[in-house]
Amino acid sequence: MAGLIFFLIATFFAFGEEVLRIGAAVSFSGKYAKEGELLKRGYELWKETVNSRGGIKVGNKRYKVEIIYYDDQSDPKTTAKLVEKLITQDKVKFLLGPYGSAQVFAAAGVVEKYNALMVQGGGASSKIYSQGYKRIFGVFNTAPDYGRNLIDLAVKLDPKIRTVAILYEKDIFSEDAARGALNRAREKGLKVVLFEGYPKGAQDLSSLMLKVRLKRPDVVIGAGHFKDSVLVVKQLKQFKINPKFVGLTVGPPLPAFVKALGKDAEYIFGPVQWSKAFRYKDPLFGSTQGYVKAYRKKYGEDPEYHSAGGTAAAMALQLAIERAQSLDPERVREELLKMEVETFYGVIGFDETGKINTKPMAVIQIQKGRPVTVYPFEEAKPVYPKPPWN
Amino acid sequence: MGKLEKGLLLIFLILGAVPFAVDDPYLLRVLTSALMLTTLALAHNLLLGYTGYPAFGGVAFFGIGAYASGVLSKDFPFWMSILASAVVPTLVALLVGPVLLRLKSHYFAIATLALQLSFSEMVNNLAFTGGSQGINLQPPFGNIPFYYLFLSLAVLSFLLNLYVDRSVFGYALKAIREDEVAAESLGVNTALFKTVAFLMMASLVGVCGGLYAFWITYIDNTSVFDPLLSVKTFVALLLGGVGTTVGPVVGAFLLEISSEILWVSMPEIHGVLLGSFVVLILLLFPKGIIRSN
Repeated sequence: MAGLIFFLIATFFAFGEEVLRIGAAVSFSGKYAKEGELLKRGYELWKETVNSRGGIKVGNKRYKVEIIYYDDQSDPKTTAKLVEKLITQDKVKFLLGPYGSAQVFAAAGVVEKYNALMVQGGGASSKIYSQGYKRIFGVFNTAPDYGRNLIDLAVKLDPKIRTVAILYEKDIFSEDAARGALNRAREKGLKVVLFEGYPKGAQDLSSLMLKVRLKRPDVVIGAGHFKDSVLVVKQLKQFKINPKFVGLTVGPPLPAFVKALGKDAEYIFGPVQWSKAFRYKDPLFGSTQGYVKAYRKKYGEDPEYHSAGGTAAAMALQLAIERAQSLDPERVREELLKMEVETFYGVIGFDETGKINTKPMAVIQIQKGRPVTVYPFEEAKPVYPKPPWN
Repeated sequence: MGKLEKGLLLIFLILGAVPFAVDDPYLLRVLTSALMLTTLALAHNLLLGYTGYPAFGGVAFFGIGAYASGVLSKDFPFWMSILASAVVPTLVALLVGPVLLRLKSHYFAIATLALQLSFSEMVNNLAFTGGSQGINLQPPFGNIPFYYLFLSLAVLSFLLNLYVDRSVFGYALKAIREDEVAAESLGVNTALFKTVAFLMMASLVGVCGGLYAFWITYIDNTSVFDPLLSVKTFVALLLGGVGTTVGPVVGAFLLEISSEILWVSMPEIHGVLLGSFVVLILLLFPKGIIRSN
């Protein structure tokens, strides 16, 4: 008898259970393979957590989430092709974003064409929000905020800084970030002694370093991706350049940064979209701490912002679907526009262009081999001025 | 015309009917990518296959074409921009051709690669090309017209290859390929003929880039001056058979379709499998699937 009841219940749930398929074309090979994998981890953690609670609730139905992943090989043409496949062949209406701004542009064109909906945590270029897209939402603070926040922190520190040198990799994101720092530095009355770019994939920055050494800036800001961030630190040391403050837009928060640089990573600042030192409440994970715990349990390491951004994007989509009580992208879109909800990631809310406009950025510093948040939540006091290289 | 060539024209005709027969935007996009690669391979074939000059950085003209139409797209209609994507690369080729074509084999390959990288740096640093911000374009229409445009361009490239394969002009190019000094001593104006072949390649590749820009709606220097695109073009060319009219088409479709099938069925290791597949084909057919006679 008990067996029969169990069987009946099991079949009831099996029949009552519907599946919501969400698509994601993310880089698992090529230059963004690392970031793509982190993004996927964020999506997966969200998916498992939502499913363990019975799935997404739409009206009185519950939908288990299934995510279809395709590898875009870090190539925008492939991203567009895969998004087309996801929408037309896999019949997906909701998409989670790819990694990289060029990839987001490529995907956005297709998403708009089919009136689907994409929430992305992989492109931070401010240009994404000036294209008139109606169905693209992003949870990342845009690139200029990266540079801006570093300067905001630097001017608060004592002894006061006067001069700033800004180096950047020539790509959309890094140049945006560098301009953010440049503009904020000028607003604050600082003297920008150097503002210069280097080509993507540069292996040697010696000529640039010679210029930096001549100018003796108080602050060095490096805007680039992971590999060249490591290169900037190595070469600052090699050229015995000792600014009071070194800030890099991408790199310091990643565990691999300390692994690559060891002691030289000490006291370097980096802005983060998100920090595990945030203290927010969350509807799915309980709190920021709850999210960190769940992530650690699943992956054996602390989450960083790429993964958190992925989870946040997916969560924004989920909350909007639940509020809309509908799987119609148009109604879900309206809910996203109205949304202002506290999550582990910060308060999520969007302006009419789809850009998140309710969330601050944090700055971390490497202390004893670990990134600790020093702004705006003070997990530890910032170490400043930076001691010379040893 | 040989049997294979007639067969290929028939296949092009069938491809023209595909949008009427099936409503599958994804398939259309795969075929459009394949047609784009076909054009690139056929264009390079004019220079490598018939003239013996490997323009390893021929993708430079793809980027120049893409940027020409990208920059003009802001103020001019679609057709003007596409026209520019043929004209501008041709003019650039006319400027650099006579110099570059003094070099041979590896040296020529490296010099064209340098051209590609220097243009990539230039558009990345100039204000009117959008710097590293790239250019966003407004697509004038949907995927189907793009499919037909790429198809027409591929057919045009094929017909040009046919012409070169059979004409006196083509014989002159082949003479240059076999022995440039001997050709010159027989009265072939080698400098002129090489340059014309170079211009033909540049204009075809350029229009390809222009169409790409409108199709994908966003260009930056890494996506349109991508060295991987050169590699893909050359792999397609070598797979199919250099110096033949049908080979480049077969190579491009084989490469694009097999890579598509492989990643759909085995997403984890598709790169490894595709590599092994290419190696295997080249071991079995060292001169490409279609042999020149």
